[in-house]
Amino acid sequence: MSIWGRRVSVKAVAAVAALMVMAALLPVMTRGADREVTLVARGMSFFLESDPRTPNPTLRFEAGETVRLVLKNQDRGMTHDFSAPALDAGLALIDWNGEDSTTLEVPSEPGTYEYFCNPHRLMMRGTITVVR
Amino acid sequence: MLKLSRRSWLQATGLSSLAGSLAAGARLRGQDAAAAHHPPHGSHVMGTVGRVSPDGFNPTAFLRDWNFSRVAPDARHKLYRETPRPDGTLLREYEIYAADREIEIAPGMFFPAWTYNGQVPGPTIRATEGDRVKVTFRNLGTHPHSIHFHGWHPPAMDGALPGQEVQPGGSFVYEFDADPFGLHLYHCHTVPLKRHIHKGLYGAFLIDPRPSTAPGAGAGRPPADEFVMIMNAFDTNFDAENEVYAVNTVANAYMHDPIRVTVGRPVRIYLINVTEFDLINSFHLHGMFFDVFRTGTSLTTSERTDTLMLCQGERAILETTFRYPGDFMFHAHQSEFAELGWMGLFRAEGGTT
Repeated sequence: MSIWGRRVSVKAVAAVAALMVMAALLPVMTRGADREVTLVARGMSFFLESDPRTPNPTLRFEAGETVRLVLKNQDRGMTHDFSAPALDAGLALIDWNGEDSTTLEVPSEPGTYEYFCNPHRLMMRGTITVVR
Repeated sequence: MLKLSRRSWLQATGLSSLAGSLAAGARLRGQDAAAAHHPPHGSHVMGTVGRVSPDGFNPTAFLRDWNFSRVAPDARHKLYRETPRPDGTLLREYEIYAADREIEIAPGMFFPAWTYNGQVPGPTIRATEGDRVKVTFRNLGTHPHSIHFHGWHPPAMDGALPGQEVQPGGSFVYEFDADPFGLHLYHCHTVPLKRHIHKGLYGAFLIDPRPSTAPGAGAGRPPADEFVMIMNAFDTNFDAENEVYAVNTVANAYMHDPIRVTVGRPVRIYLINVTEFDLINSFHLHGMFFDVFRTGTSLTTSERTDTLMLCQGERAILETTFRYPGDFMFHAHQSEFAELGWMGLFRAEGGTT
């Protein structure tokens, strides 16, 4: 067959079409997060981007929900990471001015869990509260 | 073939002379490396080009910052607390932590520092003779660290003896009486010592005389405009030689942002040398003389000079009063150090010529 006057094989067209269909289906095939929470590391503390005045805030999640967690490192000259062992979640060290994200699978059981920055755990740590 | 070290490159280009840097850089690219050691004398413009980011350490604020005085009151309470004691002295409690941090020591030049509370030099600790000093130290760094205070204290509080290093994630409480009055310092005393110090783990520990007990007039030191100046340097390529010299970390900071002083008002400089890898450092002030109080342990001056030499760990209190308005240069009288960043200006205002 020909497209715009150029001869192309039918197999190639079929392969491109199949890829396009798969790309269109991708959001349906992978489960999206229920919501997004953005943390900012600054002055040796975590802050919610929406609340820059409360250091190391308590993060409130609903049991069983999926949360996309974004960490922005705005702590000049310092590297920070994020770890929540009880949720089996974490982010590797992020250089300053960098950011990274991960998906948290919140446990189905209500409870309180710890989150922290590994190198600076003595100052950068807070609580995850899971409610039903 | 001439060996071009990073140090000589910096001398030739970045930090010695603006005109020289352009010419020398061009010659380097032209493979005439030897000529880089002889920049032309066409300009007296000296020092770094550009500025460090204002988001980082502020050398001007550091001059007059002790006991976290620049921190907002609610946040300051978490770092520093004063509690009166029955005998009229104070219990002074400090929170100090060690942490790794990249710091900007010259425009665009970053150094992987080990810091106390994220800054180099660390926060200035200031007490009055007889106060009780209690420092809670937490190691958030990636290596063992400690705090070794100069001053009277029992061996358990030394922070330098075997086993006294604090492991990453660990903590220790140092507690002792502020004694004797004078200008002291604190620094990490974990081996290899020269690395732990030159990476940035040091700060000023200042003990004011208690007016009732000080010998002589018994009135303490007279009021003055006071500055903390710590002579330091950075080995940026870890060859046990320094490439950047400064007072209070940022090369030429006070050339670009002169220290504002007032004609006729006494000034007092708390001067400490922590420079690693070089045997001595010095302080020279143009157009003036100053009174020297070595280690600050006497209220009587021992010397009047315009150039003072200090070994590593030595310190002195300098007092003078500006007679004339205008700019007064101060720098190490080792010209090499001065040209690699250890140079600044006082700008005296008020009064008449």
